[in-house]
Amino acid sequence: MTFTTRTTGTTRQKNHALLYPRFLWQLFLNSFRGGPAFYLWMTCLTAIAVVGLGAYAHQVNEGMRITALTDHVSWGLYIANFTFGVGLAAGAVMMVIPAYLYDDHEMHDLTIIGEILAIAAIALCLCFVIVDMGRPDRLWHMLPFIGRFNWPISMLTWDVIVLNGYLLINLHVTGYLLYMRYLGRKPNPKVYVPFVFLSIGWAISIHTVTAFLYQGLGGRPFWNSALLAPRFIGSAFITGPAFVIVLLQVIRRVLGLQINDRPIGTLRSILRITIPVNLFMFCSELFTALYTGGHHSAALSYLMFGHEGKTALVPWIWTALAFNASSALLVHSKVGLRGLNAACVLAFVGVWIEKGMGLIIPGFIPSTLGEFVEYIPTLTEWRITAGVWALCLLLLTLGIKAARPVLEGELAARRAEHS
Amino acid sequence: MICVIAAACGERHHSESAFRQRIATAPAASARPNETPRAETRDPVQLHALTLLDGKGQTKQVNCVSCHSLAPLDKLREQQLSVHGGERKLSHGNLTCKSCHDQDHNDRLTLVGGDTAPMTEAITLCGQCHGPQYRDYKRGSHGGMKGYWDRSVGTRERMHCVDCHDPHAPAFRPLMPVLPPHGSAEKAR
Amino acid sequence: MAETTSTRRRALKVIGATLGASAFAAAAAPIKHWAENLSLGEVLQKHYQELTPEQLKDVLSRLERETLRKYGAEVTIEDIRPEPNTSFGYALNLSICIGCRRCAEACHKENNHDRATNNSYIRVLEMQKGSLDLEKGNAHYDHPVPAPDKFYMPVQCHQCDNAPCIKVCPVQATWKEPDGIVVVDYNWCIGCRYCEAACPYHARRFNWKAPEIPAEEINPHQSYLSNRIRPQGVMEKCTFCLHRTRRGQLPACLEACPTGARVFGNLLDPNSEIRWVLENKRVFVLKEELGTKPRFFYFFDE
Repeated sequence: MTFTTRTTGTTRQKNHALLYPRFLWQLFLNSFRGGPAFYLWMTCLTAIAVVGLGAYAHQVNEGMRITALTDHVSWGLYIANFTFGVGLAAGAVMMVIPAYLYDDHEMHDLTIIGEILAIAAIALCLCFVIVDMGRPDRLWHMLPFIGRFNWPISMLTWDVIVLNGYLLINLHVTGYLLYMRYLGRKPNPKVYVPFVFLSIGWAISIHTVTAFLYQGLGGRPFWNSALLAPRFIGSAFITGPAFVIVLLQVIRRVLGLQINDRPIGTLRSILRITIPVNLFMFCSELFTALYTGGHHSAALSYLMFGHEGKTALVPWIWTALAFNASSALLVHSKVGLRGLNAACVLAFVGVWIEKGMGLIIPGFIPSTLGEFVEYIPTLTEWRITAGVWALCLLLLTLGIKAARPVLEGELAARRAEHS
Repeated sequence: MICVIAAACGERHHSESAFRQRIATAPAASARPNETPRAETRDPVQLHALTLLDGKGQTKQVNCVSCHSLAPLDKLREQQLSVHGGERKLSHGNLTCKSCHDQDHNDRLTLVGGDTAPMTEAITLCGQCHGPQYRDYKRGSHGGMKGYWDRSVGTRERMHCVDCHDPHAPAFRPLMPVLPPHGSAEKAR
Repeated sequence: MAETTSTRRRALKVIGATLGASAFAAAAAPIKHWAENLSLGEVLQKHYQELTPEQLKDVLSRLERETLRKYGAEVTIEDIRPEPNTSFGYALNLSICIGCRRCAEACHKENNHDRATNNSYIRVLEMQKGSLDLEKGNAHYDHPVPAPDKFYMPVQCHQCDNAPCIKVCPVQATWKEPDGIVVVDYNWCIGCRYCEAACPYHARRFNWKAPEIPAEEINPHQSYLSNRIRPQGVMEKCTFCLHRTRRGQLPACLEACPTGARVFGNLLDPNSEIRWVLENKRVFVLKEELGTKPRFFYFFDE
């Protein structure tokens, strides 16, 4: 008895228990196939990741005293990057919304890129959480039923659920599409499309929950603002599209895929709204703090202008503002692709600073007892941060590489439709 | 003529080993009686000693009575305060020697109303002028203490006024603070 | 020709893989060293509230052995349960505190804090008279106290009745005991420091490294939930010296105070001194508007 399939390829339904591991093995082998440029890129990333691992091993062994964190500023570079990473993961869904909600067909073919970016970004977040933990050997304490999971009171437990859920959704969709491609079968929309729609709402939730982590703390007036979650979503929808615009061009050049400019144009339209909105929300916070004055303005005042000679963060935030403002101008003016890429890089870095160093650190300065203790990350922290980013770029590269057949197939089908 | 007498618990700071001994032999929690309300127990108030400087500049603990039972009181003059060592002046508001010391008995103090009290009960005299502080002291919010908060299982020792306040110059002497907070990333203001 | 290229490529891959693997092993070596010092018992240990009495006994003796091995000191670690009908409160007289920090020093010694960092649960702020603005406070004063135009405010864990730190802990490593003390299970805490971010009073301390204390300075009378020597990477805080106060004794900070500015006792006892202070003095709490409901009260005499 044979099953006919709708495309060319194998015709017999084989045992998935045998096929799936073989598929994974092929993915693994595929990671080592490539030209010299690919090897150079991957070797550099691996080297950086190993440096990061070495620094992390030292941190685990000697304790976090080798970071610049103190009881005054107890979260720093790692959580800053974690926060940014959640935004990037949420923003990756910005490809999905036009594709599935607005029937943008050209975007539809490329959504798998956004989903792979989401997977890599969530991996980034999980890595940063682990490197920030004082006792990574006790990670199992957070498992529901096995450990003690303080749900629903602790926002951190909500964050664990939504981040891992988002990872699973994207792994499922991507894995399914890749697996079907491997089998040479057409994917069944019922298996993955509901999850794609789910990922849209879920993406908003991951970043809202992450914002709620900070927003609910009465002892930290800099964070205790209702505007924090909207700011997070707004900046997530800058970093996602900005990264994808550049990523699409890289894929176009490196993989030789024929991606035309329309999806890029769609993402650019999104940036045209989200970059100014993000700036507007920042200005709103600025006004509230500085016009009212008093204790509420202490952290923002320190961030923007320093306090009694302590100005470590001032250059950072003004750079971020300059980057965000110039990217807003660039994205609205009639510049070509090069100008757009500049705007994307500026916006990406600008938001990284503003959301990372410009949001997490000032939350702790002044401390709850009014003390101004500054935080300047150590080399160890930079190494570990670089290592985690390198690891996740590795994952992203491998993911895109694995998705190449899917992309090629989709794009070829689209071209065949139009010709 | 400085006599050095260490009263039974005559030092302001008990030695570590004696203290640990008390903790080690403390009754276990299970020995605590369960009746409420607890019986009122008076804190033993020990008149500890004045901290003085001897001729060599070293601090010694001296019990007031040890000298005041020997020296004839009518010869007390403010200038003689220096016999306690160091620069001592009488600076206790507008008080004079006679305000507190009984002229007829060296080891007694005059109370308001004409009564006298032994020096070991100086707290009664202090309390007659310093009512709020005496009230706070009795209620546990003034003056040091060591021991048990739960007097049904253990005793508590209170400081006496003169342990901290030299009655001739009662202003609490400034101390240097200990254990400055510091760490690898602490920065002074 | 193609074959030599592919064998050369394969050889390069093998060399690369070997180099990579050895670099990886070298980088990860300190983790191996750290893992060697971890006991399996500690890694698998359950939450304090889930341990049976036998398991708890085993844990305590294991901890005592580890303390002997790591610090060279013989200690006793007990599990001291709360007394019934007890609810602790603490008050501080700002009129007579002189800021000498002897309370902080007593805490440092009693609770086996790391010596090099002068760690203590108590932080004393020198405040400007006429203002309760914490930003005008200074914890780094170094001159004879009290200074004439200043007053002094020691801050430590307030054991809040509506504690933000308890709400945010993802693994329930910190909770409120029946006698009001907020405790931490140091063997359950994962070191995420969310509680430290949530606390409005700077009450929590993190072990950025394992504490270093000379054996002769270690306080050997320890309890599981309070002053046993904490491991690296976990949170800790003031426990109102529960290893003393649950036995009816005064906390170490109170005994060290030379002026008697501290008042401690059982809020449920209507005759207690803490109750008298709350009923007769004008007490206030810090940051009352946050709704944390602290059990640590401040008052002035005038």
